[in-house]
Amino acid sequence: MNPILSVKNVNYSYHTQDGETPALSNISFDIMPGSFTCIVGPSGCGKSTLLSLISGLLAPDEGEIYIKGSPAADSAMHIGYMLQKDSLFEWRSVYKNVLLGLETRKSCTPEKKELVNQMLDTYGLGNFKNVKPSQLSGGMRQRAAIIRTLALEPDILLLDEPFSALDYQTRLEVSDDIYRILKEQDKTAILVTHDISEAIAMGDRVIVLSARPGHINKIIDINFDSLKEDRTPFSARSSPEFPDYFNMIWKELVQ
Amino acid sequence: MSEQQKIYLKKQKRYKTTITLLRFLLFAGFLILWEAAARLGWIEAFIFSSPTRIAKCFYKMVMDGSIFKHTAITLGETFLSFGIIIVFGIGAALLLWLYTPLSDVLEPYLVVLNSLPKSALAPMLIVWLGNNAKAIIVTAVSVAIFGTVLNIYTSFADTDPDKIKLMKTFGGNRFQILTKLVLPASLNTIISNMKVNIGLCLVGVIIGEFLAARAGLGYLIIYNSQIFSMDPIAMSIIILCIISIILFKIIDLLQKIAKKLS
Repeated sequence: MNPILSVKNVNYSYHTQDGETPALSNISFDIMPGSFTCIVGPSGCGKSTLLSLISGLLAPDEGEIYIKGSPAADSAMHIGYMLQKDSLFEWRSVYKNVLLGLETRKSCTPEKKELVNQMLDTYGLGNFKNVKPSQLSGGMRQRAAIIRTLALEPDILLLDEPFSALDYQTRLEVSDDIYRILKEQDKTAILVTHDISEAIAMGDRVIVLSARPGHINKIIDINFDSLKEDRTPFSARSSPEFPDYFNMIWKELVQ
Repeated sequence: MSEQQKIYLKKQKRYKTTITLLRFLLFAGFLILWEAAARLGWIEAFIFSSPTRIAKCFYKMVMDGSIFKHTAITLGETFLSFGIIIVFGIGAALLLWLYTPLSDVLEPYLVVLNSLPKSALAPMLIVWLGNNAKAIIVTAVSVAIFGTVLNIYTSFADTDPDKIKLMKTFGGNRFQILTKLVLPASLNTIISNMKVNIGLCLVGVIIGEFLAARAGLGYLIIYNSQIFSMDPIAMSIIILCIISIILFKIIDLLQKIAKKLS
């Protein structure tokens, strides 16, 4: 199987008046279709920058990024990007919010609207189509945000700490929700987080980045043999393998 | 509904009624006191006028139609300058948002022009543009335009960067970011700005009419002050009060409609 995404020897620096800040150094990895990869690292290690590079919002100083074999800058259509904040537009109804990406890409066809309606029903927002986002709970807002992203039918989903603004209980619930949604839709996902537990709970694979300038310390495959088909982010947290993975990643981060 | 809820609602209602009543009493009391003071000779009615004198003056000017002419002219000038400010204010703010170097270059000038007391410009504008309505409208526009541009541009520039990033991840171009995000996000600021502007326009128009008019409420005030005829002045001021209330209410209504539609 060919990787859906290849990152090859990528370097990136930020430039300001005060000088140059190297953010990422020599990053290389491949992502297979249908996989769930988590990227963990200390604050400021360039995790979000990496997602911006993959999505084509930024161009790498050196190195290449290929999506389905073509350069990332030309493949923005294949990417769905979910940001830290849900960024729902208060002046639009939930339904109009979910259609925002399709409208912007001028691909708001009846079939896509049908798909969006189905997703809203499936993920418990069917009765909230015409309300304003302010009337939704934190978890519902995140679900609306992911439907907005999925409506574009992206091949790869980039999730930039999408749960960090939520309180802990909601966070666990939404993690389960989003995980289930992504698995049902068989999407390839890359999740950036600074929360080790979250990375282990959700990922098939965890990429550990070092402090700035971020480079890859280690790539760890996550397998919960004890859970098999019952794996959810929540059940993973209480599995016997979980503490071992936690310690392994913790050691990589503090070394 | 529980007993407590009923009591609570009743209390709320009584409070509201009391407030309305007190407002009305304050106004009526003021009128009565003014009238009585003038009649009893506590104040000189020739200088301070009185409600009945104002009413008589109003009646006279309604009968000969002159009040409609003056009010219409002031209103017309106000609306025209308001329209110009809205169109040019939003237009200029858009240009500044679209071309960052332009806003970087112009910002200090806008700040200075905004803090300049615009009534100081009026005499010069009249010399340049002549003793006519054009000078009055330009004066009124100059009072509010710089503040409007700054205010609306700041609101555009303050658009949530995360939301802009979101639009970019959708592949949105600058025009789409503008129409789908920046403008709707600033709608409230624009309408609040209109609320301030309609008042400022009236101020500008009156300043202009003081200096350069042959008609209008400002003209009525300045002309009558020169011949010591205080009743038309007081009447004009009251009409101006009523006009500003009505204009403010219109914008308020617009805001409510905009909120419902969005």
